[in-house]
Amino acid sequence: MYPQGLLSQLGKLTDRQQKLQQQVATGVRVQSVSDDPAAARKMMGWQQDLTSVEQYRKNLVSQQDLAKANHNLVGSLNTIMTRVNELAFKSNGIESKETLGYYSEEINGLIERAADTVNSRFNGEYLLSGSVTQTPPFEFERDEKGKIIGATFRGNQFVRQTEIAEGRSVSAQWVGANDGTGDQPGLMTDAELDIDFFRDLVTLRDQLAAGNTEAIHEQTLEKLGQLEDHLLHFTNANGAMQTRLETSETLLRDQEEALSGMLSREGDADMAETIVRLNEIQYAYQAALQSGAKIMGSSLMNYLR
Amino acid sequence: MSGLFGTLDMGNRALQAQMKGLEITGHNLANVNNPGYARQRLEVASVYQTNPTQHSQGSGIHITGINQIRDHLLDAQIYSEKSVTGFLQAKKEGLDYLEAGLGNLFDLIGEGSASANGASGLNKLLGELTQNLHEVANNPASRSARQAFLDSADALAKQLRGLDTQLDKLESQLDAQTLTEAEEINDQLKQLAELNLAIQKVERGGNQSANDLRDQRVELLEKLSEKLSIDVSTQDNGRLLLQHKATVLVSGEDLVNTIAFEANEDNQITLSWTNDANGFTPTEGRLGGLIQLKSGMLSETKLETDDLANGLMTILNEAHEAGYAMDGSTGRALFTGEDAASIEVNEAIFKNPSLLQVASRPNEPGNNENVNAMIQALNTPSVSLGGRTFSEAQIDLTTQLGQSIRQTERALQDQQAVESLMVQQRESISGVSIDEEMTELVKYQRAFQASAKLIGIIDDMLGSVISLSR
Repeated sequence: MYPQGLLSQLGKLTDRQQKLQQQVATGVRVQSVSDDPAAARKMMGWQQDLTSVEQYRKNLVSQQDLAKANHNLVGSLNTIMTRVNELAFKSNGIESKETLGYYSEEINGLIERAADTVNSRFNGEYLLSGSVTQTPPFEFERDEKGKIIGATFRGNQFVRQTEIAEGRSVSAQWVGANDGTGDQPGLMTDAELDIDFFRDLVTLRDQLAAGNTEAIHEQTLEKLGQLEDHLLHFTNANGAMQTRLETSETLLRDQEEALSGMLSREGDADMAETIVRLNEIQYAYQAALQSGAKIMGSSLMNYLR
Repeated sequence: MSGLFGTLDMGNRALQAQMKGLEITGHNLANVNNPGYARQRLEVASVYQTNPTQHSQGSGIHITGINQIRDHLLDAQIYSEKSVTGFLQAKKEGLDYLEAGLGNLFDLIGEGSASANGASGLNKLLGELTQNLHEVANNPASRSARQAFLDSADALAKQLRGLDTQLDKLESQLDAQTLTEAEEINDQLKQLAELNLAIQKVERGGNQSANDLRDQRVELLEKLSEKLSIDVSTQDNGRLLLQHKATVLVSGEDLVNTIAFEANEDNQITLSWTNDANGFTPTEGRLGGLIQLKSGMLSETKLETDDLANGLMTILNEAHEAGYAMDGSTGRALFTGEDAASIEVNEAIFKNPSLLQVASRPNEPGNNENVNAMIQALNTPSVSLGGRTFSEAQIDLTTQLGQSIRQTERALQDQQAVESLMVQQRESISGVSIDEEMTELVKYQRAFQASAKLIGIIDDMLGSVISLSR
């Protein structure tokens, strides 16, 4: 009977050693659900949370990229507007039709630049088209000389929402125009605010070409000022969005760290503790072997002649 | 007074008795490593003669029998403990098989550390599915994002089908094992009846005890009790009565009942007794373990797996069907199938990712509203999953299985400790101790030498008597 008892003790100690060795080798305490189902349940929930947080961060980066693309777009439009305003102001007091004609030509060039800008793509999609991302947002009407005389919005009012935290979605997307029926402000045209970028620039170009500087200073300059304010509003909104995304990113990073820490505490092996326990078990195993061999080797037979 | 010849005879009987003692000690020592063996002892008594004319005087020794040192109550307790151990052992073997087959379902860490979030199994696949769904929401028109999502949906469906296949395999394995165990039980019952007959033949005269056959019988009963819970008792006529609950299985040399088994249309095995024709459901022993594992945890897990697959189909199909594909079509289900065994991604969508219904309105390639609704649906508790989210339901399924494995392991460890304690207790009573037998050996050797000396002395005395007449 004694050898059987010894064998079962040695078996238990070997199992224990194997388990601890595995923990030391992998650095993981809860390898399988059956190792510790209660801890596993918590860990699986946290793993899901961590996966979500990781994804939220990816979503956030995609929104940051979109916000940067919009920032570049509105930046280009601002540059155009600065030059447009400069030329509008400079036209004051100029009577030379030739000079005004040059200005008009430059404005026309700026209109073409703006037309290219608003129909630019990001990541294979038109930035200002709403959800019809494969359709250029603006279609331009041209006169017989090929000059732009009007722009029609071909996109829609949809902006893509992206979840950046549980139950919290944002959108850094802008739409090109709002005909007064949508919720989203239009970047180039907004019926509610009486904003129409191309209309006003085309008017300025034509007024310059006609030498009608009076109308420019009486009406058009005011409109251009409104346009500049409108673009400034979008620039500010973009800045606010980027700040919001940065704040959210910090929060998500904190959450990610906290979740990783919780997972590690629950599932990773405490190396110092595990190694000490492994040593203890190894001593017990050696002691069992030594004492067992000694007891099994001695019997009355050793003392009988 | 027995005289010189009487004393010589007494010495002879003593020699025979000590010799028998030495033989028994040798037999004990030979069986020191036989777990079913109960040590034997020589039973002797002094021969007492009463003679009214003389003073009463003993006249040596005679052998009254060879006894086995066995505690029958302890044997019965061991049978009972072995039934419980067998029950848990069979259950654990089945669960081990399931755990090995579903390795990645239970693998919590995958590669790396816990904090590296390398989960595998359903949890990982669900995580990937959700992430890829978000990627589609970020790039609704991207074919590669759609394909990645469909691949992860396919992987999740495959995992559910794999789980179902493993559960089916375990079910067939349990059925096959149940039949094997029942056949082995029948075989052992037959052997027991034969052994009973052999024991009766040896002991018929009343002078001999079939100790070694009885040892074999105890060993057989132990093996039987691992498979089926048994009650062993002795009838008035001294014959052994073996019962499972109220059903008599063996009475003496008569084999009364064996197990009959048949499988119905649904491949469900029913057990009954051949003679009594009553159906029975064992609750202990290996047979009980196998049956309980099949009808309990296995069938519950199968149902849970089907619920999980149906839940996933309901949640995502409902949301998906409301959306629009790139070509403006709508109403397609994302998953097809009826249960865990048949769930798969709609083949048409899998082959053509542009049919994934991502948009909430037709002809809007940049519209991600329907994907967001699908993400929302996955995170919302569903009636089809008993008021849980899909994530909660799959965690429940996995941890319940893990819990069952853990509990069975623990219970088995505890039970093995109890059984080992009982066996140790029996060993301390019935087991052979080398030290004790060596002492017996010395004792019988010295007694033999002393009796031989007595014979020598009587021989001398007889010589002296014979020389008087010269």
